[in-house]
Amino acid sequence: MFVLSQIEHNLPMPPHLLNRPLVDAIKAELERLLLDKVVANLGLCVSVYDILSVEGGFIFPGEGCSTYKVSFRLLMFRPFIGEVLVGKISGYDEKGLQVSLDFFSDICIPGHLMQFGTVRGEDGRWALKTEDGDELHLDTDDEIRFLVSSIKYPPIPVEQKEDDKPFAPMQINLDASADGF
Amino acid sequence: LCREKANAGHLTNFEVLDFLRTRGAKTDPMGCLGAVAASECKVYEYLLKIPACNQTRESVTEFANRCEGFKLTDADKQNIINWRPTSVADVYALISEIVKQII
Repeated sequence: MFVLSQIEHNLPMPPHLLNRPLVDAIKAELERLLLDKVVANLGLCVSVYDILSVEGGFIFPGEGCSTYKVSFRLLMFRPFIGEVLVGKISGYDEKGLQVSLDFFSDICIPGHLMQFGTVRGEDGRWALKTEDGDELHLDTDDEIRFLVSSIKYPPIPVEQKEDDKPFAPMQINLDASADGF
Repeated sequence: LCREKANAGHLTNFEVLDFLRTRGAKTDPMGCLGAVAASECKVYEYLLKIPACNQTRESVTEFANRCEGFKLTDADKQNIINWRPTSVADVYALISEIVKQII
């Protein structure tokens, strides 16, 4: 679920942070920039793990801030393909189920990747029909175990209509069709 | 941002929980103001609800050492450490290509 990513960045240090110890100021600025944000192809940044090196400190002409070249490691939420996760069902629509881990909610199970025999009922809820004829409904707040099938990072849309869903920079698609899920 | 290494190492859920704990995360959201951010607190609360919450470093290390003789991939070991299967059915679901492993 969690991965370390090593990144190098030219970080401008705003002058109002210069009275703090350098490493604390750099950490605060990195957290302001990256914490709880999705970095394309790297995942959701959970925390700044550590700072490996700081170089520079030059002030470029026309600027009031000094720029440091910082090499650091970020703790990213990026499950690998084939990883098993457990989450709660947060909603359903005609395409499938939406699943939520408490800190990340843009996870969906498309209808064709659910357990064999799962169909959408007339009331909109998805249900698994067993061989005995019972219907097991998949309701909100039910815990569900699933396999990660793909992770997409859609590009930021230039325009959005009012009815569109909020833009999700990282979308995880799941597979719940294997045995045991 | 220049990526030096997109993957500098996987962490198990227990290691992330331990890291957030040493940073000062607590279940009380007001108690960890200043030490950790609200988003880190949310991750911490999620990790407290899964099997990682009562693992220890020694138990995880011992499990990794004892797995050496079995033909498990790193992904399988990570899944098992993170979700701690309690029955054969759970293990079947977690290990990829289990039929090949048995043979």
